[in-house]
Amino acid sequence: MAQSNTTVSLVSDPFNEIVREAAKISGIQLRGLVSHGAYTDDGAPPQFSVILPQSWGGGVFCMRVVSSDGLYEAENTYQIPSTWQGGAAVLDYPTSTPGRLAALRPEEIAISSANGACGDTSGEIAVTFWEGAQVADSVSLLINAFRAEETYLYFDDEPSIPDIKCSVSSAAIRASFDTICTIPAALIRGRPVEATILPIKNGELGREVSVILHLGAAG
Amino acid sequence: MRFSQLFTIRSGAWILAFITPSLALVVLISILTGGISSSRSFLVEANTTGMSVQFSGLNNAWPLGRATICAPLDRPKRENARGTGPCDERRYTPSENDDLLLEFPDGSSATVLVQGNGGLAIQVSGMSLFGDNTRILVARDDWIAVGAMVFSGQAVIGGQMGSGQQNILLDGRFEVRETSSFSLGGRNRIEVIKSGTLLRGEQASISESGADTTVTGHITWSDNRRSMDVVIVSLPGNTALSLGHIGGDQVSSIQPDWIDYALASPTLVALTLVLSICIGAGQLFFTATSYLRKTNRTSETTTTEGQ
Repeated sequence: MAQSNTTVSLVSDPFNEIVREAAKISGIQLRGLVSHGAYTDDGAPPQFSVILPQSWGGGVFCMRVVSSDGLYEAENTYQIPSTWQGGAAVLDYPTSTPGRLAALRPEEIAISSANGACGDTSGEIAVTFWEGAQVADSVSLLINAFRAEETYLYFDDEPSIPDIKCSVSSAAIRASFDTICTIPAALIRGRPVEATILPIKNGELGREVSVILHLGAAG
Repeated sequence: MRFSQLFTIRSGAWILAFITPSLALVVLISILTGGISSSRSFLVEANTTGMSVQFSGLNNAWPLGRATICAPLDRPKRENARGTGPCDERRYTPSENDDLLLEFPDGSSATVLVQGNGGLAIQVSGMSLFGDNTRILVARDDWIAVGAMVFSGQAVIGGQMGSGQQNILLDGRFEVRETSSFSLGGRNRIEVIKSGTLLRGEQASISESGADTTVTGHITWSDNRRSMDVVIVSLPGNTALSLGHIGGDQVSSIQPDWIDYALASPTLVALTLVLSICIGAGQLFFTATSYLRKTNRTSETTTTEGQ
């Protein structure tokens, strides 16, 4: 691929964006790791940026954007240059419907940037910034817990961090994700951590799912 | 003799000519006021696997008899074993109660779900006696022995549809009932203004000015072991039925309007019938009057000529 060695480039061609009239529910449980800024529709396309670790250099990652009601979905692959030193990358996001994205409130949009090609991601996810400064002070993990009554988040490798009780999303329509976990401030901009998600449904503990979170430290 | 006959017919016609438009006006007014009437009740009857209630008032008590109480631990104990009891001991501490009376204080809430074994799981919050998210399990035989469970408060039948949802409205129907503004014969007439069915997976509640309103209702067991039957009735008011669907971007609101009222109200149908008879009779009288007047004039002319 003829690409510059320093910029992250969009591989998907055409840009894969679906604006549908009826909700589709995916089987994927992890829907996003996001830090929100305020996006106003000034005619310019929304700006997404992601802090990509150096270890992802030379590979691809998959960025997915879904709205809570499931009516907006975008899934695209980006190439990371092999000489990538780690750091923030602004993503090319040629959306055809900036107004539609602008209308979404923070609890209504989930963005995930996961290592690997779309459909073949590795369980590592980097925080995506939406229209905000890249110094995150709040990061949310958005999950489809399939209507679990309770969801807990554990950081087993970080004994000083207490477990997190996630909350049910306040979005009116919870078709593509229903649970939001707030990442503890102490972890933000730190080294990658393993998070374990535990849903409790119908009074029974469910299967634990682990994921590596890259929370903003370049490296 | 002829003249007085003519007079009677003519005055009858005039009376009818007055009655017909005033009756038409009454019908029109009642259609329009019926459409904006604020004294209707919604009735919803549903077969569902679950529902939730936020109780209001002091009259909410369920004598459950024998039940298992699963009190939540502060935090789940992931490393422990589940245990073999009815509740997951990594999350709850179980205890048995032989004579449980659940008294729901004003503002407390409960989510009732029918379990796979046909029993009930009642998850309660806002009660002083039990911690939030306490699960109360009642076996099916014990539930049937208990009988109906009556409630008053804000009720939502079924959960918002999504993969994994277990609180599912299976089927149901609704009716809008209203006391007629006309009480012919001194009795209040209850009329069904609108009715319809509820589809599987919908989420139903009754609202007034956009917020869930207080309803009374009851929960009884269904012959189907996986569900229960629920009936809710709203207090009279300017109420609407709120239905959540999958794929919809907002809750749809069902409220009768003047068209439903004009089509469905038996009083209006009766009034319309009376009105059409009046119009027919009036037409007949007018035809008769003009014929008689014509005949009279002709005979008067003949008499004058004869002299």
